[in-house]
Amino acid sequence: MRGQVVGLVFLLLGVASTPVAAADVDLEYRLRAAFLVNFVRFVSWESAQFTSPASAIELCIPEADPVAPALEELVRDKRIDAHPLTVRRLKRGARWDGCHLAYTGAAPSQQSAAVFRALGQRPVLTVHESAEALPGGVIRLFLEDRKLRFEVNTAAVDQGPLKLSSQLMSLAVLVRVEAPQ
Amino acid sequence: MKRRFFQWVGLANLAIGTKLKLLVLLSSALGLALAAILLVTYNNRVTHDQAAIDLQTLTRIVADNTAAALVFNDDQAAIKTLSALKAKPEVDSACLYRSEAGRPPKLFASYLRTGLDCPAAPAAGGVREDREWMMAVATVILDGERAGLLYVSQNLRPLRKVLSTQLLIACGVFLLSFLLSVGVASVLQRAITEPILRLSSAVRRVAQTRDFHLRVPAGGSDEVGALIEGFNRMLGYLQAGQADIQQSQDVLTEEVRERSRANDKLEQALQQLRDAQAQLVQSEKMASLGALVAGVAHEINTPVGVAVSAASTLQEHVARLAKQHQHGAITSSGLLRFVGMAEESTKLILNNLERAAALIQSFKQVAVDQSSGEHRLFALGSYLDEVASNLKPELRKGGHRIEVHCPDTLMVDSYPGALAQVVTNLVTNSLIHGYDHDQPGQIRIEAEVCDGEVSLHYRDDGRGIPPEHRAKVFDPFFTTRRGAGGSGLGLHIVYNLVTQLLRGSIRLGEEIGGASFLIRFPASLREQKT
Repeated sequence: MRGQVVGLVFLLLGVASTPVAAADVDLEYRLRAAFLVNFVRFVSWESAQFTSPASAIELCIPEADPVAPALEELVRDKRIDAHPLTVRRLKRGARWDGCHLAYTGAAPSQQSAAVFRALGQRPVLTVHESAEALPGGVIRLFLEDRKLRFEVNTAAVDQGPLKLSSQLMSLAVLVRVEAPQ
Repeated sequence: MKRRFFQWVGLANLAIGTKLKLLVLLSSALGLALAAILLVTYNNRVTHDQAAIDLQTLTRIVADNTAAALVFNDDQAAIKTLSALKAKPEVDSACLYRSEAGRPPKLFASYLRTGLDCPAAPAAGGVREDREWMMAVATVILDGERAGLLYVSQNLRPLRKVLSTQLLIACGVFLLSFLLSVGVASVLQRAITEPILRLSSAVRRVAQTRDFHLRVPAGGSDEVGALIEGFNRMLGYLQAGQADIQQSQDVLTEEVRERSRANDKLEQALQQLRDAQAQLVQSEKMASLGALVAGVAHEINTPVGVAVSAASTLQEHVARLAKQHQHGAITSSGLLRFVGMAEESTKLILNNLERAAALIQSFKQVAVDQSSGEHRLFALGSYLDEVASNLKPELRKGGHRIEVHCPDTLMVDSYPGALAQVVTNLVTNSLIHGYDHDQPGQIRIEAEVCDGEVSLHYRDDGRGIPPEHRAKVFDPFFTTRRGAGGSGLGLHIVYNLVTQLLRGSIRLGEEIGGASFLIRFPASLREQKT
């Protein structure tokens, strides 16, 4: 079973340029990093969100999150629609402004909710791993039958300025959690 | 060459209607078949190409839609996406492969109809086709990176079914159009052939019956119509010509009838004329017999009368002498006188009776008979010489001379006696009428033969025959010397001998100075008879 998972990771990262020894990295983190990058692929930002066509897509992650190294590893030399990807590690309490993707990781749900609330209606793809859907959180990652899956909050998509690909939506479990007015 | 071909295929002998029908049918069938073949071929091509494009597009779209499932490793989602192809029944299989760096693509998800499998490693790119399937492969690309491959195969059977249906429809349309054109052709060809057939049957009937009254009903104003009109006009001319011929024939027949009527009349008239002529000849004969008898009587009468009166005078004197003797009164002088008178009287009687006898002899000669000599072959020259020498004593008295010119070899088969009589009479005639007492004459006889006919030219150099007598010289009893020894029978006898016995002709010559006669007669009577 474990070998299967390793193979799956390999599959997911098939496009990754740097082969890394399986023992060195926590496979689950690598899988999460791959999911994050793939989310970016199926979400479109307005061009106003970029200073230039070649400006970077910023992926923000808490500084101490275990996914961060895998993510940094993954985005190296990777481009999506000519945009390079950069990983920004944020200290606790730092502002999430300027991020394209905000991943709160394993942070408690109150903390994640606070971050999302702060971002408000900004065009930021918010990803969290709380136990249940949060208002303002677009995508929630969760494990089901030992398999990593994701959930999309359609209310957050509808209210936010981001557009999610229908393909992404068709893969997701859809929920609707309205933000309190 | 072309004609030989048509002869060969038997087209030349077909009826014109059949020919036309065949023409229309063949050309329409050819056109229709060509159109149908082109249409079906084109349709086949287009349908095929469209199917290929459709399949490629479908594959592309499905591939794009499976990208997310592929990258998020959601095979259920991928199967769901692929299963949407159920809507297209011709799609038999759809197989999604994940690309892995440095390894062959690995099957990730598939949608299969029963009994099918995904190929282990599909070749990328484009549409391929084998006998049963059309196959398309599209790469799944995400942000310039190759995420996987999608293989879709489509069963060609429905397409083939569509195409065969189209072919069937084309064949049906072809057949229907062909049948329609058969109908149209058989209706239309009648419009063309009917006038022609009418014309041809009329021509045949005219040729058989020679009835030029016939007319072909007029057709349209096309070439056939013009032909019919021309034919009718020609018939009109023929009819007129026939009528003319009939008329002139009638006229001719009438004329012939009239002519033959006239001919009959003419024949009748001729017969009447002949009868009249025969009557005339008969009466002429009777008349000439009468004249002859009168002439004979007249000629005989004179000497006989003289002899009778002399005899009666002698009888008187004899009676008177006898009476004187009874009385014894005969004197010697009286007796002498009687003797003298008796002598004179008997002399007179004798002379006149001799003359009468001579006349009677002449009359006998006039009636030429077969006994006047025999019919034999003789040399004309020597015979004429002989006749001339027999005449010499008579000729010598007046100092006349006679010459005979005749080819020695000229042999004649005729009556020499008659010829001698002719020559003798002619010479006698010349001597009596031609010359004065002391005038010596020259007589010339020339004979020659030409084409079996002897021509005898007799001429003297005497005073000739006066023109007023020329027409009568051969008539009996015509003489200018009556009472002077001429009987008027000499030339008549000549004429009779020449024309009847010698079967020739005699006419007067035209020469001036002397009389001349031209006698022609056949050299051989035997030959002439046969």
